Amino acid sequence: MKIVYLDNAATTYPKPPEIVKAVSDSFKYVGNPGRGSHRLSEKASEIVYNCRESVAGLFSANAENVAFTMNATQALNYAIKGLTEHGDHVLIDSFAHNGSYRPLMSLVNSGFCSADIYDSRDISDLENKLRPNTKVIITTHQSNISSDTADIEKIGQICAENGIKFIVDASQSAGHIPIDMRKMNITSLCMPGHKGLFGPMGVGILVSAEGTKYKTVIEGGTGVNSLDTEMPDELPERLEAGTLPLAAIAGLNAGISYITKKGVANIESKVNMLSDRLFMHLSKIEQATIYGSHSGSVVSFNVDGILPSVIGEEISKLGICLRTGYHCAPLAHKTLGSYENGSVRVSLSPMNTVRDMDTFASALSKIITNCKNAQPAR
Amino acid sequence: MSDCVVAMQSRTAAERARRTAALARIDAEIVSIDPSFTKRGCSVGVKVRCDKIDTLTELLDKKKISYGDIIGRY
Repeated sequence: MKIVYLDNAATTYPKPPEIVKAVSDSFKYVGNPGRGSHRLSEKASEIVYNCRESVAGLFSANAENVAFTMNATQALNYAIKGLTEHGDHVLIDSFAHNGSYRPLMSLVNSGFCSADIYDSRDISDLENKLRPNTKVIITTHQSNISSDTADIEKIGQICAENGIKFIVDASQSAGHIPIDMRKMNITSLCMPGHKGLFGPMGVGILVSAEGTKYKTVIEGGTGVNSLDTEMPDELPERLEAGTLPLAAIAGLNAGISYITKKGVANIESKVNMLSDRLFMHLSKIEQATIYGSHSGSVVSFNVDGILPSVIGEEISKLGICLRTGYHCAPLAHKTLGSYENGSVRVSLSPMNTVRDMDTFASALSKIITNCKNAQPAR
Repeated sequence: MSDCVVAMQSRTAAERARRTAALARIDAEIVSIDPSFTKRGCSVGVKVRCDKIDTLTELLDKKKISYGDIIGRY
């Protein structure tokens, strides 16, 4: 059975062959990057630095401000806990994933700071919730439920005008939507390597504005100044305690080369074209409710009378991979009105085709018909 | 001609310095510095010919890449 993969918001699949090759090739250089000056360690360090430069180029940043983490959640933890000070007021958007919401709530629940939720679709809501002690704003660039996309340039401008640190969760948008950190006044840009950037799982990224100072969340070896009892002040080493995932970083670098060649704006257009077709199909289904924005890599919906989990299970039998439930984003489901059961989520990558959209629509229609027929006659 | 080493604050800074040197056609190599020099444990530096050290440090200053001691006649 041919697989139609529509769970790209969880991780992109398939990965282009050059990424697989880069991962495989990296095992030829098994030295630990930054832990020696022998040939294999040097080669490994070069791979890491090349990837820092690729990331920096993609988001208008400096290579030394690109830190590698395990995943986006770790990057968000470093940014939120590293930038928030005792007594600060923090604003977080109503589309936040638990990757940013839970780290913030751990600070709030321990009495370290206070927080409010704002609707990133409405800039005046954000402005109304600013307080004199608002020091950090956290924004989900693109929702992992509905493709609703925040105007981060406008929010960045508000942050710059008010001396507020601006943390952006670009987990769904990185690689799909152009992001310019300098232009958008972003302090900390957090993302996974394995979604829109096409890297393997196991690497996340925290890109920082020049001069950003973080408190550390974890400490450990960095390969330099090993007699010091504290982490170095300099980025990225300050945020990189322990050995880096070289293979994942090599794959990520190849992933960024792939999307750079394609062009992020072209990827955005292709994905929007596919989601328009998906929306066209879904809008023909009378019983379907589609949530939030209709254009972008993620489309969520429900069908009256059929639980999302039932659709997920049945459609999987037909070779289609998608995700149902809450997608680790309860705030977003509250915002969109799908909190009761969550939703069915279709998420796209530029590797998808128009045929995939049509195959999905036909499978969904079949499931709806079967479910209707299975219901007892009234 | 003997070599000199510029001590760097981090492995990333050392890589940046090496690439900066390469762009200026200065042969440079990242080396470990013996802990006895820095008294801070393991450290890294960028090794160049001593007659290129002034050019390199000028470039580092220009690019705002911070560095530490210069260890001569390495």
